[in-house]
Amino acid sequence: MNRTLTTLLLLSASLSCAAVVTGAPAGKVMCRDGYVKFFSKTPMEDILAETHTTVAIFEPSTAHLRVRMMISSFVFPNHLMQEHFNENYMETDKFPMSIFEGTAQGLDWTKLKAGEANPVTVSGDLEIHGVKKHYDVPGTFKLAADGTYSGDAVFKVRIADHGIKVPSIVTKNIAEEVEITLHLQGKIEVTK
Amino acid sequence: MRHSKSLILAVLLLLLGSAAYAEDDMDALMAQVAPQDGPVIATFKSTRIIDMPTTEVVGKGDLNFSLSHHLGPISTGPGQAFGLDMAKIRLQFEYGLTDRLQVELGRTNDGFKPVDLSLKLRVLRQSTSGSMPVSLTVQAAGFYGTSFTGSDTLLDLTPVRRISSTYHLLIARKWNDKLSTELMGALVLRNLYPSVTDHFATPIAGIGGRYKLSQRIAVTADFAMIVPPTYNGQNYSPVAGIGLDMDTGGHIFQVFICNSPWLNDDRLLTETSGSLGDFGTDMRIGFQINRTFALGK
Repeated sequence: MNRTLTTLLLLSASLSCAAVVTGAPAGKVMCRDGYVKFFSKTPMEDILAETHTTVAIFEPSTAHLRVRMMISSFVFPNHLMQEHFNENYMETDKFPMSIFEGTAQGLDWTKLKAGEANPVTVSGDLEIHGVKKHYDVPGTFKLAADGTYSGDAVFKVRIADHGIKVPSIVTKNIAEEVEITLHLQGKIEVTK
Repeated sequence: MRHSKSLILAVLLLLLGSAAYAEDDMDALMAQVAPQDGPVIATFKSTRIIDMPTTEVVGKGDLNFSLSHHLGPISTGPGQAFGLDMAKIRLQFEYGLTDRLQVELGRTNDGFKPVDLSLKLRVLRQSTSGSMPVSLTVQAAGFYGTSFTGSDTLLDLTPVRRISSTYHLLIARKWNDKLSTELMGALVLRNLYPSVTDHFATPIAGIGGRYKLSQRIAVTADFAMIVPPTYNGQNYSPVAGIGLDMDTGGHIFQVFICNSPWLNDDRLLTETSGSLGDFGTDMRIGFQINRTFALGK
């Protein structure tokens, strides 16, 4: 009886605050205006789209990072391209959001240099077009003097990995691997 | 034992509670940033279902070029390549002045060989939340006859007599990612019409839709008729067609079978004589190729 209780307490304790990072500030960093760029390069055509409304929550104490992005928020230079992107490739009606959940690894808060880009690897599952895939993305993490946390990363996504089909007639215009550029930033807003 | 059960429950509740909280903060953040509502896109792939205009307008700065054909009756047989030798052609340019308003210029090589100019305005747009259940678009077009032959040349062909016009009210709904339907009300004003029992103004009602078979291929159908059917005394036939839309990524290719030789709306809607019942003699093959060029940025 006593042992059950202890086990449960330990279990709940370890689950609720998994891997507490030493030296990390408490609270949550909230990002409302995260930038994501999508770039597809082929000899035929370069396709670029951007969004500035990506949302993220980062908890320094657990290094847990959650990102959400509305696919329809991507802005293309041309209206038809944007419609095709949503209608034919991303099926935005069915899969309106892209979601990432993971942890920032390799962050040593005791050695963190303020105002400098510190290397970090973010590991977790990225869901695009309803298909989840594990990524380990190297990037940088920065803490500015005014208390703004920011994270930057550039990585590649194979569109076939996420079940996005490109008809053979346009395969020359759309790259098999698209480059994603990410910039998230925010301050600690929730302190508990 | 009972004690430990309630403890397990308490711990579970705690865990569930914190998990729910974790999603709550994300949802709250999303609600602040992401628009909860937006326009429904791609109700139709083209600005025409087959013969009926859709609620779609081209985007701001986009130029859509359409090349359309209605062939002669399929019943003309292999000797005339199933109507190819009697093909009518229409060229059309549509340009988006804004995301809601487009101007269109067209030329058809049939009948009076009209040049036409139209304005099409997207008045309402269906929203993803359902707060606006339908899209509503209006279009007004003027046709100017450039060529008159035979007994028509005996008429006093003043500029006004060469003009006809059409007015469309289009209401569409995208029910899901596959099915979209549309209702049409139209009025055609003609200064020249084929008989004394005919009228200057002709009211039309129509219905059409598309069903996507795959991400790129859709079945389309439309049907329009003069209301009441005997209104202009000629017992003209309804206009109907059934076809396929193919989205090749760059082009929208539409191929169909319909009963009207006309490609210009003024006479398509009022003077279609091909009977629907007689597939053998009156049905014809048609197609339309659409290509959009992004001119503005």
